[in-house]
Amino acid sequence: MNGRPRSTSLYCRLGSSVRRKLVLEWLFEKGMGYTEIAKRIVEDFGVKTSSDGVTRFAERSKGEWVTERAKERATAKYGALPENLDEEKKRALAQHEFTFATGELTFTQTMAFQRLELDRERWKLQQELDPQRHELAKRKVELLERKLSQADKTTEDIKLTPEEKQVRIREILGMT
Amino acid sequence: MTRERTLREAALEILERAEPYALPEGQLHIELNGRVRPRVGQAEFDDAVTYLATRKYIALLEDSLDPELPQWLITDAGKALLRK
Repeated sequence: MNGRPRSTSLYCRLGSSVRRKLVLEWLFEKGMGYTEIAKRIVEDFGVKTSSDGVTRFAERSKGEWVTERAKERATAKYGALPENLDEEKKRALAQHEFTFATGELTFTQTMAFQRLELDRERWKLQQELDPQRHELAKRKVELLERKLSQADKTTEDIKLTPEEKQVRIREILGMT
Repeated sequence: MTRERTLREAALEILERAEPYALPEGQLHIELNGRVRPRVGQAEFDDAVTYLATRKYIALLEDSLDPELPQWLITDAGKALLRK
């Protein structure tokens, strides 16, 4: 195998990225079974395949799917950030959203990511002129500060393994 | 094509598709395993990454907040190599 899909593979025979994306949604979002998906591919696209063909497609595509979804999430995050927030900070937040979405974030990064989020919330608080919204933003910052302080204590807990710390920190920060 | 070259090319393609983001090393390994048979062992993966990094075809994300989690980007030289 040269790293590229064979012309006989389901990956190639589906023929378009739109169809591939649809099959990936059936696999990883709707949780449909391989046999059911094989049947749908034959019915909807006229492409002959079996549950084994779908299994191989799933094995090949899962990593790609995770990366694509992470990109979409990070790009959406970047687009939703305030326009006049520092560009470097915006890029860092989007990168961390991407890393988080691939499931590869360590607890050290999770904490760093949350500190960036806190910075962003503080910045929003400073910009908010409406008294009611200002109060809400203030509460959000205070809550995030409390969570981060709790998470900081967890990182220093010598009884916990790095994996346990990661789970605990994600719980505290509501990232599970 | 040798297996080493296949691995390197596949890694570059994966990193190019992840742009503009830097891909965590673990995710790069997962994606390579989806594309290449037999699966890519850790030593083999490390060799491919070291080869590409020492020749500056890929680069570590500079402002990575955690040195324990390397995140890789494709460089212009890496993209040129893919187009050869």
